Amino acid sequence: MSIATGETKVISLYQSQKKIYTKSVVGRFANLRVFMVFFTQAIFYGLAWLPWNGRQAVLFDLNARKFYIFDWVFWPQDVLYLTFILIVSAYALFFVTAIAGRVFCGYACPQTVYTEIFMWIEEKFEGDRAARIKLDQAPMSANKLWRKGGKHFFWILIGLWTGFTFVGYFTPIHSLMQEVLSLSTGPWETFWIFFYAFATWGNAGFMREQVCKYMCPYARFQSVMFDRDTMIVTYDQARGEPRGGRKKSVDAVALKALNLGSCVDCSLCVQVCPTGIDIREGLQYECIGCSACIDVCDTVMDKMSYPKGLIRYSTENALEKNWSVAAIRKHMLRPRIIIYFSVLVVLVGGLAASLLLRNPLKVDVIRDQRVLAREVEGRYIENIYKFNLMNTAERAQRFVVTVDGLPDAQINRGGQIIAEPASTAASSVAVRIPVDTAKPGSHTIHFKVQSEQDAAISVTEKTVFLVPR
Amino acid sequence: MKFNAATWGAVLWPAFLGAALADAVLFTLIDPETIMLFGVQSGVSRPSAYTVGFFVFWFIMIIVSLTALWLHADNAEKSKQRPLR
Repeated sequence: MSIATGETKVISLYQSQKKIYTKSVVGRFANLRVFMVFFTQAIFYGLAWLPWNGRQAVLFDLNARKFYIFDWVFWPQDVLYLTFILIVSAYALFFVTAIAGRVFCGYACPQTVYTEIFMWIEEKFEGDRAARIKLDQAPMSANKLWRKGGKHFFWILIGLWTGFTFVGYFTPIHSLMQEVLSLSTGPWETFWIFFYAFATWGNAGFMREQVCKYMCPYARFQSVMFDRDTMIVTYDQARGEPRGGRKKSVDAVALKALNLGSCVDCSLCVQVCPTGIDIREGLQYECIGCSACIDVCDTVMDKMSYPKGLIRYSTENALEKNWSVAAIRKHMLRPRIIIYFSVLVVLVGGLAASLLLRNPLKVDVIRDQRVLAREVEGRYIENIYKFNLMNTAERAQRFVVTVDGLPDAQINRGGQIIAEPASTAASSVAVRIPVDTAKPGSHTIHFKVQSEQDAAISVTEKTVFLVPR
Repeated sequence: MKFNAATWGAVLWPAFLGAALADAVLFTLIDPETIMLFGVQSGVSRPSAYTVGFFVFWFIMIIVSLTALWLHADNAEKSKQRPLR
């Protein structure tokens, strides 16, 4: 913005994007990423089909308002557990990021994983980087139509399968499959399958690095977790500069005489970068830590017979002070890491303890306001209570209600409540005391609800017994 | 204020996350099948309530974000025009 001339020129930080043609790369980090693609997607696509206790192992059944996660069944009342699980996940991410930088972004983030899958398909249909650039510039032809069409066909297929699986975590996937096969999915299921398929196709096919650069909040606030001892993808400036072309015969010894660094300025590190940055300019927020530049630079170093690692995982401190790998490891344990770790241990411990101690029975008792405390059979005072039981265990249970607090109180009706697996049961319980055994007014009583099968499962609830004048 | 694709992305995406959160919180606390509309049982199914709720939240958050963005850009412009002294 030039103030001097009096004109205001708006420089948009979001310039219209130049399409990035990422050159594919082979190497150990690329292999690790491919492994992670298979690993994470085997979980995502596979877990939805895993049976458990005669139902889906992981199912967030929105329609029934019950979440099943392996042995646990969560009800809306248990929302604190899910909040807890989310906080634990966030803390785990902080912890990992502080040590190893953006490994989540580079290997496990769905954006990276689906982009990887989509780029693999793209390469199968449209060829390598140079071929793709040429194809995009070429006028439409039968060949171009077939290549583009084939690519989109498979992209859409994967998108739809992803959308289907996604919805399958929120509505039982087996019945969803039947509905899909008979083209009878409900309107909202249909909508969400297509919505998620569209998002997958758009994000992995077109938006790609722009999601990380412009939309991802994590990319912006990760700098808070970083410090000078965090592992990042670095370019060894001291070793690489001055960069420049040279004959292949220039070996590591001859470099000094020519006043050249190890960087041959082949620009391959820029070509393979999915976010289109030049790692040689230093740490940039666009870098998702995918290490494609490390892989490709190592192959160049091999060809030149220079030592590998001109671009490598290191830390800012290590690069500055020339630390060895052992020194980097020694600096891994620092206050920030210890604090993140202790908080994580406390959180996980708390979560595990509360899950283990979780009572599979919840009881809600209210005195039935519609029925007045009354005299029955001329000998008793009767109060009616409405019981609402939640049996979160996955087996049917018979519960026995006992009362205590008034000397001769006894339960006349509704003393046994049967609850189906993972469901609620309602009952009306009548409590009687003989006339004249208690003063008129309100008396505190306690109900104890206990499982017949497992005496450890019991809940005591307090309420009042009214004696009319 | 120039609205290009990236601006829309920056508005839509946080609003999307916010809407998902608001929707989850609301319908964790309230079962849509118990909602009364103008004194009668609404009769909306749970999936439709969740979905419509999500889009209503998304819409509101988009409008709020756009308004904030527009006001902010306007303010920034004005404070630039007025010299400090």
